[in-house]
Amino acid sequence: MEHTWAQLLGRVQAGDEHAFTCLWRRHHPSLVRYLEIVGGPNGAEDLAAETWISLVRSLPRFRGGEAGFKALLFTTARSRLVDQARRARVRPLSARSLDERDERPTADDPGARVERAEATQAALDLIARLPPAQAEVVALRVVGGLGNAEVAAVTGKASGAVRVAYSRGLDTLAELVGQGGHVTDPGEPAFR
Amino acid sequence: MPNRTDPAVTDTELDVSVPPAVASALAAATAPPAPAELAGEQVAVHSYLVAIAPAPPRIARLRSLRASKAALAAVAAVSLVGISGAAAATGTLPVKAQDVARTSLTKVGIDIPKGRGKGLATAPGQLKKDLPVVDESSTTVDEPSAGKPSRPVDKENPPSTTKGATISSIAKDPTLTGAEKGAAVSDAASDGKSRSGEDKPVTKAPITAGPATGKPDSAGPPASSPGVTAPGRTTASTAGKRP
Repeated sequence: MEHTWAQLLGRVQAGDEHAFTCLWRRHHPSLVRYLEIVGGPNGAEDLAAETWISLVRSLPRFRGGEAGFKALLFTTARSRLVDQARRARVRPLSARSLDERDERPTADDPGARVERAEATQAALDLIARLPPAQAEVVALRVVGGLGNAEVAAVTGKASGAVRVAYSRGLDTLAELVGQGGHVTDPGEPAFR
Repeated sequence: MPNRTDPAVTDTELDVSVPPAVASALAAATAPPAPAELAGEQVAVHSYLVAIAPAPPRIARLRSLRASKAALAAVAAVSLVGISGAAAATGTLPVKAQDVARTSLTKVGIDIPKGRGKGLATAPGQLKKDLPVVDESSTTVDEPSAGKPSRPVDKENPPSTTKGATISSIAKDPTLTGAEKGAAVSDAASDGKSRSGEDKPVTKAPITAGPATGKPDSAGPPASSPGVTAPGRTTASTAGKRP
């Protein structure tokens, strides 16, 4: 049974477990994929779980549409990433450090990577090869489904900067596809 | 989750056309999740259930805590009352506490001993019968029918009150002289056992006391009663000791 966003949010805020499950299934996969692209595959699932735990505490007070909810979700996830970087005693993973990151961390443990369709994984790996600023904007726009304004809110960038980063990210993706292969079918593995 | 299956995607917001290969990659990145990607559902639902409905458990805990406090207070109160009641019943409370307990319990029909010094209290009515008594009525009551009523102990011992009043009236009797009045007081105080005044002849000369000061003293004798310093216990007991 399909629910409008208002109905779904109302039921979630009323304590409806089934409604929350629907909400979680709708947004959790994109959250994990975003975390993998930006923070690497290690600990992405744990960070996503922390994000939900933090988010559900503020759910009863949340007011807004689904776009606003997604912005809150990814903002919370981004904060978790920064906290994780601080806990690991590495350079604080601020917006600048994300921008300056040259290479995306790789999975130390192959088991840490979530098992998913190879085409999907290849696409995520391709996006993760983008410069960090472009990768994050593309991930939020494409994987997270956020609008330009929400991406600007999540990343703390100006709306114009987000537009530029996204445009350049798509151009870079095209270059990468031209260099390494191409995706002909989302269900087929394209990048190895 | 956005799902772009059209390889020739045009981002209308940015008005950017992307090559089909890139569009396919983007579509693959937004493909429906595999079952493994939903493995954390139970943990998330659990955290949601814990976070979304905290009020009832908190209220229940508060109520439980309040009930526990009330129960402890009740137990403490019952213990205190029980211990105090036992102490009051046996008369082992301090005098003031014993008196307060006696006053309070008497109102509800419970009779307990009266506080008395540091020792055990005795039952009402037992005080003057079994123990030495200081009869204050004879020194304080001038007009029994006027003013405030005498102390409760006097009400409970009418004989002593009557004797004190009798002695008082003798002391105030203007027809008697000092020695006669002393003898009469002694006789009244000793219930006729005293032989005061029989050893020597009665004279009207002042013998034992000087002239009265004339100061108004409710406990003292009238100014016209020389020879009797105080119509109370001291004089009576002294007279009673005479052979």
